[in-house]
Amino acid sequence: MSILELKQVSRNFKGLTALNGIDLEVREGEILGIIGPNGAGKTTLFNIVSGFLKPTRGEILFQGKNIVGLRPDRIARAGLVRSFQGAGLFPQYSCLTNMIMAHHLYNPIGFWQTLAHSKAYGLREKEVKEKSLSLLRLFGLEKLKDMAAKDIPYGNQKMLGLAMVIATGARVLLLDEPVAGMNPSEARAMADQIRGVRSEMKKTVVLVEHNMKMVMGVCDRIVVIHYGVKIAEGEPELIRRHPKVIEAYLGAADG
Amino acid sequence: MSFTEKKKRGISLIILVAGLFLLPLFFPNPARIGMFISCAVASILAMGWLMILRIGCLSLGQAAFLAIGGYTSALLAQKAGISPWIGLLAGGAASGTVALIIGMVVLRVRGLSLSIITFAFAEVVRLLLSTLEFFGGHGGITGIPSFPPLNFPVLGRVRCDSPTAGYYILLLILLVCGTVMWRMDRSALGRIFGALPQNEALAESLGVHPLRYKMIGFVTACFFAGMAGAFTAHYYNVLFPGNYTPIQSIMVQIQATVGGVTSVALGGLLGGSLMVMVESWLLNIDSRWVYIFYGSVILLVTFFLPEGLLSLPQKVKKVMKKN
Repeated sequence: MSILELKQVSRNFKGLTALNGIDLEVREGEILGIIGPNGAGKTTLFNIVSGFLKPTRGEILFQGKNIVGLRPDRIARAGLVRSFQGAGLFPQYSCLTNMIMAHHLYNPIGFWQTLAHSKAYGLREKEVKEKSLSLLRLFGLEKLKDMAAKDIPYGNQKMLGLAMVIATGARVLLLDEPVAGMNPSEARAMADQIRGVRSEMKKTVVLVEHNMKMVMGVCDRIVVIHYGVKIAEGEPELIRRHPKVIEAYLGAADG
Repeated sequence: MSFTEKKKRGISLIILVAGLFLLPLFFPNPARIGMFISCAVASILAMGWLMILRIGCLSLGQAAFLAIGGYTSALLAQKAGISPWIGLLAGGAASGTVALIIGMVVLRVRGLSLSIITFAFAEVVRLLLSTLEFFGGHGGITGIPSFPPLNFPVLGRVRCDSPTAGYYILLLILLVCGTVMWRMDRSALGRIFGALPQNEALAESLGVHPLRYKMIGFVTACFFAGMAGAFTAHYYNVLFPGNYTPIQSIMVQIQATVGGVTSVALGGLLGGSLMVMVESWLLNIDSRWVYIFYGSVILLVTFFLPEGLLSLPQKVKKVMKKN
């Protein structure tokens, strides 16, 4: 069953067509990879699905409902959360505070309850702290909990970013280049975590990535975008041998 | 935080509040009390400015919110005969409402353009007040009614138009403002405020509606600025548009920065009080010194203590450790 569906999604930037009639179906519980050469429109696609950009045309159905035009925080509340390229953290805050921030949907903060400082509010805060700590433990970040997010190693920053997306409780995770800039062992650890997230937490994952080894190893299916158009879709083996994909990445063969 | 630390903090807080209540007993001179009142008004404004800074906005127009509160309460009292006690709340509400409307524009933009909008807004408010006949024009409003006496169960009838009474009225406003700011700053709400300038897009993708939270901080800050403005209207009995020039807004900013950005409530109180005390001392010598003082202090603080006086003890400790 498809949990997320894009129908004829297009986006123009002042005459430049970044995305042109993209049809996409994400099935519940799968890991879908989106690849394509630089400038293919992958990040634009993420920005559109997560609500940071509006599509010029087209529909995006999440659990059967059209989410086009909703604010990013609304889309997050509906259960679709993205990560960001690079570190994507609150750099000055400690890792623990970052995790607590990620529980916002679980524990939305209001003005009056903060002022009243009620017992229920204190308990809720405590509970969120416990939850955050256990997630940090799960992702091997417990020792770094009091360090500012900007001061921890890059690989850990990316891991924290993933843990934060998980903490929101979203059903569908959009990961923007989860292993970019990582060394091979870090990338392997991240790939394992993503697989674990899918199998143990029953999440659906859509990821954009340039690291082909990682994409081929982790994804159930892959969609290839080139110049804003979907040129191929299928299992990793199929994509690896797909003539259009090879052409897009290596340039057209003579004749 | 350990238990003893919590206790220590609680005790110092009680001493601080008790000290503020006893101040007029030690310094009964009306001129002194007048200075304390200026300190408290400055503190409320500085706290608000720091709260707005928390959400990532540098406001250059806080004087406007002081003016809106003052004029609202003064006009309500003069033209509609509404009690100054209600005027205090009405002044706050008027400033808060204007902040809500202006915030729709201001809080959507970032950085320099935001500061320029607040600056321009404050100037528009000041020019409207000084040109429109309804607001008294250049001459401002005079003869604003004082706070009427209150009847207390035990004390009986208490006059509220003396400097000492004024001090206690304002002290209550300051304490409420300080408590609200403290709670907001040191709670989950403050955590969200602080996250917004760091990475707004991330906060948004985690389900935070940035505009909503920025609005909470902005409106609260301006509400108390309005209340302080309403107080000054009934305490001094006059309002002049000349009191709300850009330099006033900039002085709020300097006071707040000197106090310290690490705590909204304490930084505002420290910066506002200290700067006004030195200011009133300098005014006795030569008023020109005031601006020289403010200018040089902001330079020194920016270079040597960018986190303000509140960070001084920590800095001293660090230097001591090194040697």
